[in-house]
Amino acid sequence: MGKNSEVTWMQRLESDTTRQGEDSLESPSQYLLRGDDSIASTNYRLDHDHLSNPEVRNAFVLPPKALADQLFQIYFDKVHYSMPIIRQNLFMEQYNRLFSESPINPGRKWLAIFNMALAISSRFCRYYKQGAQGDADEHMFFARAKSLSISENVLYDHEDLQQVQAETLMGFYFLAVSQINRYEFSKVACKGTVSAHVVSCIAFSNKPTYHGK
Amino acid sequence: MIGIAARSGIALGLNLRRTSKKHDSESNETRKRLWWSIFHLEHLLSVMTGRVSCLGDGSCSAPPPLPTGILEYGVPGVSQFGHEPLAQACDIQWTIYQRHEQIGAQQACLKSVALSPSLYFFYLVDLSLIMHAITNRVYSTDVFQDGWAQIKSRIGLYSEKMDQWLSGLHASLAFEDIHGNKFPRGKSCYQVSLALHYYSARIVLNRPCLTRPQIDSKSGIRFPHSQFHNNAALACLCASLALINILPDQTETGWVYNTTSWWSFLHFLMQATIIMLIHMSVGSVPTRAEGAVGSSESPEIVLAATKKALHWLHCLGGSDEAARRAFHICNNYLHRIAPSKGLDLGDISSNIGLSQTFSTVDYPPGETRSSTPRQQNQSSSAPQHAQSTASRDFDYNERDDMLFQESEVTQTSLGSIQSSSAVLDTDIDMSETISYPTNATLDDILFLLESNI
Repeated sequence: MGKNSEVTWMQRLESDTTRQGEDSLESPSQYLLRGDDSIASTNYRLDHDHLSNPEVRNAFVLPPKALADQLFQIYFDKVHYSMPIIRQNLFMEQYNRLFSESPINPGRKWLAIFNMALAISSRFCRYYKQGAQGDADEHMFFARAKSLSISENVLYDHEDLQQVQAETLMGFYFLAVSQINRYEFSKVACKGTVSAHVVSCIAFSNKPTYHGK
Repeated sequence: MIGIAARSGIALGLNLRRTSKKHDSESNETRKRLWWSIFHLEHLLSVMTGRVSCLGDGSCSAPPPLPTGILEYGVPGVSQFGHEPLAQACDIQWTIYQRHEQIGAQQACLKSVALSPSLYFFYLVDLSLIMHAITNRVYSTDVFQDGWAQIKSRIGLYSEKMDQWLSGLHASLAFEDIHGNKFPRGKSCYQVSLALHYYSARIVLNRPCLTRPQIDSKSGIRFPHSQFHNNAALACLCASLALINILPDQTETGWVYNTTSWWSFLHFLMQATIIMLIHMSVGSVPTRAEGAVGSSESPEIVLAATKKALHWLHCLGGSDEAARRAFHICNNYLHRIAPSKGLDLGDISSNIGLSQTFSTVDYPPGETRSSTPRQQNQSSSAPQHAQSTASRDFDYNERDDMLFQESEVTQTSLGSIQSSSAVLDTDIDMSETISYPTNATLDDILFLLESNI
């Protein structure tokens, strides 16, 4: 963690306080540091938690329309105004056609975007309702989106807008679940679908230190 | 992951100004908004992790998104670009790139535009660009080679840019006037979000000046900070207090998820809380003179704001594991320093248990859950406490016990946690990157780093 992160501020405050001897022996024992003032001990985020990875039998299955309506309403009310990743009017038109009397067959990447928006809304519901709602739906939506956006052709396909939108939504999802260190994502996503050579290529392209110069 | 999206966006040329007529106006606007969403998200993550952004200076030439209400409310297939001539006539530019004499005209133009999510998004990205420049220019590794005078100069420059941004806000989005008076509560979600981002930016900008006073190792004499240093440290503290002041006094989870940018709220709350903890520990921020108007940074005020922040962390911890961990870290630290600093923590629960079944009841301030002192362990990397929890009798906290058991197993994998946090070392000292040791100004910097928090 770098110098402008509050996690680093807290870590240095802890170690500096210990060094200066400012914590008092009068403190109840459970509050004293146990000799560990590393960044990991002050990192409150959940980077070390394992992401649930349910098996996806059919990534093309759609949720019940009532549930999808509710979740999309939440997405556009609570997320979209700060992150206009999706073109709302066009997307909703396509969404309505999906559940119409003569449904269309959506593409993989469109469905990936669809499932990611549902996953984000599900996470919101989980937070807001304080855990009353199960998290199985959320993990399933994410797993479907992952399998839809990462395919055998990922190395050979050129970029397109929907792929970028799906990737952005995934990045946002990781932020929402306090997993901000997910540089390992590419390896997990590609496992079982592409060769090890592809994994190493994609992992290299994920280097966060690219300066764009 | 957002790095992948940014690279993909660059591959598509989303970061560049489009000159071809291949796409219609709505498609172009969609692409711009997608790019600036990626930029904002990438910047937010780089601040959270403290790592350099993968989007360097000058990597974006895409024009700003239109600050007028289109696309969101559009009837499918119908273009609502009635405001486009207005926006183009204003020739909207980012605040960070504008000269002082140009800003007034644009601000007047924007203030005449109707309120919409698009207007809010424009201001948000405008502020993100200023913040992006701050993290690149004030915290970059090469700044230490330029010396402390250069850091001061940049802090002053970006402080002025932020003043310009604040003064240009649309009337319905403003949350503070030019005299620093905060507008009363009852703000919209757009106002709250902009206010949180703004105060967070002020905190990060002025943080380098919030340090312990330098002390001569031989004589023990404390060197006074310069006036600039004191003013910047005070600004950092005031921004933290203002951020906490946005929150209602009564904790309520619904407010966070209905009124704020909920995905980054915990980050902002922790920034402000940690600044106040630093202030209480270091005590280097000179509060306003006694008798002066607006002595709002008195120790009592700071302590009260810290307690309020802890109550909010605890409230969020009922549904968010990260907030729960954050609460324990801050609560633990505050209780450590309280006796030596003479802090009265009477109305903070010293040992609040958060049960595994998420509670739907917010704990009102002052209420304590009865628990034994040996029941809670704030540090998951202290496996020796696993044995101490075996003797607990009532108010059993299953979640913490599972955490202890896990920590026993994963004690040897602390290194894996550290590696996943991408930690360079416990003390990221930049002195090794400085290549001119004989520079007199550099000696000041090195001394500052040794005493810096």
